[in-house]
Amino acid sequence: MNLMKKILSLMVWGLVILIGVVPAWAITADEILDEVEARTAESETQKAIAKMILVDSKGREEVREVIMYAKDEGEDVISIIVRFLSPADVKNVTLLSLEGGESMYLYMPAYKKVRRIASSEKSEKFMGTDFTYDELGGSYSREDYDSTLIEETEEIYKLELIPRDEESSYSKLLMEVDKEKFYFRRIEFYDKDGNLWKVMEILEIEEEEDGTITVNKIDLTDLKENHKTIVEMEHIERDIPLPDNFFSVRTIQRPEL
Amino acid sequence: MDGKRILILASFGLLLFALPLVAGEASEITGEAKIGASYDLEKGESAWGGSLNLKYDTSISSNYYFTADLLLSYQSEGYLQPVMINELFLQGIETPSEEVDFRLGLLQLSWGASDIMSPVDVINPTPFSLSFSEDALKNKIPVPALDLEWYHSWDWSLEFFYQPDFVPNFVPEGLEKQILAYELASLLSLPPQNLSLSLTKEEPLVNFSHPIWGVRARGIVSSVDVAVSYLQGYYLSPYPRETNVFLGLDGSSVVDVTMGYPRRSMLGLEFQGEFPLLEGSTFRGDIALFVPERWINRINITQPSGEVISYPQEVFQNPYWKGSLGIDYTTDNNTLLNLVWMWGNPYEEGEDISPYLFLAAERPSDDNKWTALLTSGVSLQDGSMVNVVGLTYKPEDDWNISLSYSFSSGAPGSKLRGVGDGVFLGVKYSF
Repeated sequence: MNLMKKILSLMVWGLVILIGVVPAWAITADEILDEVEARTAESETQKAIAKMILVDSKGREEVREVIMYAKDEGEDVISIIVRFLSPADVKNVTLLSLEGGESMYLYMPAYKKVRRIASSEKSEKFMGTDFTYDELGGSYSREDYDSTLIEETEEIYKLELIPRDEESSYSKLLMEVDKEKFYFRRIEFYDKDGNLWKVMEILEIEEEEDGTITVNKIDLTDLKENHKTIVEMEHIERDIPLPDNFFSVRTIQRPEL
Repeated sequence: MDGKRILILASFGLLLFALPLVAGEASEITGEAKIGASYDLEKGESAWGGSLNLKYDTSISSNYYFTADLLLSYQSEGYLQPVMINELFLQGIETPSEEVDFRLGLLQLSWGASDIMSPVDVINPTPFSLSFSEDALKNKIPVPALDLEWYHSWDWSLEFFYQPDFVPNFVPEGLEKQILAYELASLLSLPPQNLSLSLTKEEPLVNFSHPIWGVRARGIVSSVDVAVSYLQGYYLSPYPRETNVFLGLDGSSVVDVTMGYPRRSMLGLEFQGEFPLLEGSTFRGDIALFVPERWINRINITQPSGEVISYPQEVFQNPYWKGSLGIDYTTDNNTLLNLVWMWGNPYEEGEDISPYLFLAAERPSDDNKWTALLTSGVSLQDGSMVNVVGLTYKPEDDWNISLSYSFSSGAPGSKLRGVGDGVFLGVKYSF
């Protein structure tokens, strides 16, 4: 069940990083974060189908497919539905998160009932993914980090981000932001002892006609566990019409979404 | 033709009608195959079994869906129905009006907030099982019914349940006689081996004009999910109505028992929400008030001399309640803990009800391949206990191998001692 919630967070994060494109010029670290956040593609509702590939230390892969619906409720609050399409033993298990996780429900077809689950979450992994709720639940905004521009090349800005939350699992993040399109190409996460722990990379993007960027493939590698999670966004629809009551326990019990 | 047969016939008719229509439409067969073996450490006996579950889902239109769920099973002990329909139903979404969803056919329903053994989850009868596993406890026999839910808003709904035929719990006849013989022998102070038992069961009159029915309102009150339900129906296990005992001169006895299913109504309350004092925890509770019809077992004992002694045995006389209250919590190291206090297990009714405490723990490995399991239950009435320790392994997605060891303690005849000691090995493949 923890895994389900973390996968939900992964999907939320996947939405957040769908960012836009702007020309780059001399700029401060905070302004770079502002630009990254400001260029995030905006849509009131979204539907996405994604594939998650879990790769263990021996190179063995496990594949999970999900379908997700999300709605921006305003003020950075998102309601979301995530349903597993595969593998077979979790097929149609469906998660509902209302208003940014204020309340969460899990529908398990085998039990034929909807369970209320705790919306608070720990920072451990679940179902073998390398994502945690803590690290995926938020964006990288200047309100959450003390940021410093430490390097600039022809292609990227390199930022150092120090979490302001003392309970964060990380001592710092090193983020590489594409100078032309203002999306982060790579983030290194360092543990409390200053050791490199995880590396997140954008592997594939697609530039839309209106100049926004769709992230199609993300890789998160846990160097301590020698394990990685690759997320491929296979299909995304934005601003789809959804009924007012779509994000409800009624919907997650339906045979088809 | 009774209601059940009509519904089954209608469901199969719908299936035959639907299949050609949906050719080329989204549809698929899913399911799981299981094999398992157990060894009873007390009796030194082994048993094995297997099952194949096939589930077919298809959309007939954007509002209508059809589901057929079939279970083929075999168990060397012979306690299972070899072929069973798990479910077979037509489902309507937002039809006949936008606020209404319904299911019609052979249905399984799950009322109650508790994960297992909810006292308000009394609609479906259950197949017989000697297992204490979660899989065994959630097994149900479908009932022919209409289940319709009207959604007043995104967070409030009203459910109507209508069942025009009666379906009892399944217990193999030989085993049922054996259990009853021991109960009677104890009640009448007779040796069970000298007792010849004849059993007659009278099912209640349930049809379209005299259905089993229920209503259930669900909603959210101050961040707590609540449901209030009312069910008018019958006990799913039979109780003796008349017991005629004929004592022979040689110490043998012939017993004719007529059993029936007492009428009962149930008023239920369910609730679940986040536990405010412990971050990451959730509480769930169910309370059910049962009002049974007065049920008396008339016992007539005919002595070898021809003298007849008669006396009544009260089976149900007064209303009573059952309850379940639990909390689950995930620790920092990803261990799931579930603690449940229970007033009455699913097999206890009336004055037999007693309290229990259950603790379940699950600890997955970091790669989620292995999970260690512990389930412990204790009867707070007599101190008897059952414990199950186990390990599951997922070598690949869709494969699951489980090994468990259960052991019980307590005085002979105590509440949980009868679960016994045993080892179980099972393999499951989902597709």
